Amino acid sequence: MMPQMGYDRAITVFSPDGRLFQVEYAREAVKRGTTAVGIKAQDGVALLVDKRLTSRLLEGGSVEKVFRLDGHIGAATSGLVADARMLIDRGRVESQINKVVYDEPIDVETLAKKICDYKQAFTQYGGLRPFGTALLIGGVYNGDKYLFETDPSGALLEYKATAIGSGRSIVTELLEQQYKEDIKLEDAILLGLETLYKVTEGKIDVTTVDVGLAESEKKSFRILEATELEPYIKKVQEKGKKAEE
Amino acid sequence: MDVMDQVKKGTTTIGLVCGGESIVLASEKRATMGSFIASKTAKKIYLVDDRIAMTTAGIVGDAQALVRIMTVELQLYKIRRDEPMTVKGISTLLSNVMNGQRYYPYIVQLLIGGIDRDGAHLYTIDPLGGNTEESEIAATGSGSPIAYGVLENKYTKDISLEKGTALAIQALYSAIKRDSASGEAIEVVTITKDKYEPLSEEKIKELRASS
Repeated sequence: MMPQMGYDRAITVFSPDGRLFQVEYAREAVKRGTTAVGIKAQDGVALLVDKRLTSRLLEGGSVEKVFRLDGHIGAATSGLVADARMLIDRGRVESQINKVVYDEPIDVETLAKKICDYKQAFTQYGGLRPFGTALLIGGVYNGDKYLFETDPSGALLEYKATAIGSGRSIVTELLEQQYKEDIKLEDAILLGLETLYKVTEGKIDVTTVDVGLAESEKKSFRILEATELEPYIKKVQEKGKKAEE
Repeated sequence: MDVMDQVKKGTTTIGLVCGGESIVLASEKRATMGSFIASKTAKKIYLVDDRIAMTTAGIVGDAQALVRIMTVELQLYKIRRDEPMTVKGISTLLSNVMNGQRYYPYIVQLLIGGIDRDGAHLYTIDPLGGNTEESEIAATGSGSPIAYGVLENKYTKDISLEKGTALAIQALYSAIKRDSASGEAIEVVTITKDKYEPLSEEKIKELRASS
């Protein structure tokens, strides 16, 4: 995609054919990012990420790509990690502001919209560049489950299941085939891990994957410990090996 | 200081450190507007984190605004750093907020009590942000001198949680008897490493009878 002459300098300028090039370039950054998968289940929402640890010298635990935004909402990130941290903190602060102003936990859609509005502002004002990050926001609120995807432009889409990052097309293909609306959370985790297994060509284990769960019953979002994740990973690895034989 | 006098009006609140490892906070429920009793069920003890609570004396609006701010600051701290704020941390944060409003102060006197990774702690904070760690007992409000009288008499550093709670209840009821700005039912909360427990009416009655 060739840049039009001069129209990708300042992002507040449209190109002649109505495009904001900086936003599109930001989307390219996301396309190179690590894969994150979100799946809505009967009893909650699962967010899974491939941490893509490049060296055994890395402290795997310090690579954070799934975050808690509030007690009942979480997010998985893909793209520029530093940009992601800014957005996550913004989400956390907005959740608390809602508590100060209304003394209520924020609902998932409102939080997603607030984050999107924040992203959008960087495509229109101030001569700043957009965020090179996409988020999958998953949460439970008032007995309902929600999964949203936000992109660098600030667009908001609600999904039953989706993926962002480099493995998006592989994962989406698998999800199109196998996803069912009445899937249980346990199986959603397995399905998500299977897609990551395919994306990484079998190289997943407890240290290279993070899973966050929004659980309807517990009304909470949490990140799974390694010990909880272990049995799921094992199952997926076994299934994968069998498929190869 | 004018502001310091203003907080002496209305309310009695009490805090105790029991045996160095648990906290009792207690208050009565009367809210006054001059000589009018504006509420008989006013809430003065607020849980701001899993094991930290705050008692408020003074102007209700100021107190509630601070409670709201502190509750979310504690949450933000916990979610960002993956560990809870210490009692000292929140007292210092409050001190900074209140001293920042030095020329237009929050007219409140607060007690912060809770359990954190360093044990059980109790702090008092005055309207201009002066905070003091109390290792034993603390009381605020117009009924505090009376409460202190009872507490000083029977309190010991190694008092048990049960006896400490009964003592706090006794001190509160004494204050209610002799301070017109304090009255109605009382609210008692105990905090240990394992739980935060607001006491039921029956339990309060039981402990009152036992002392």
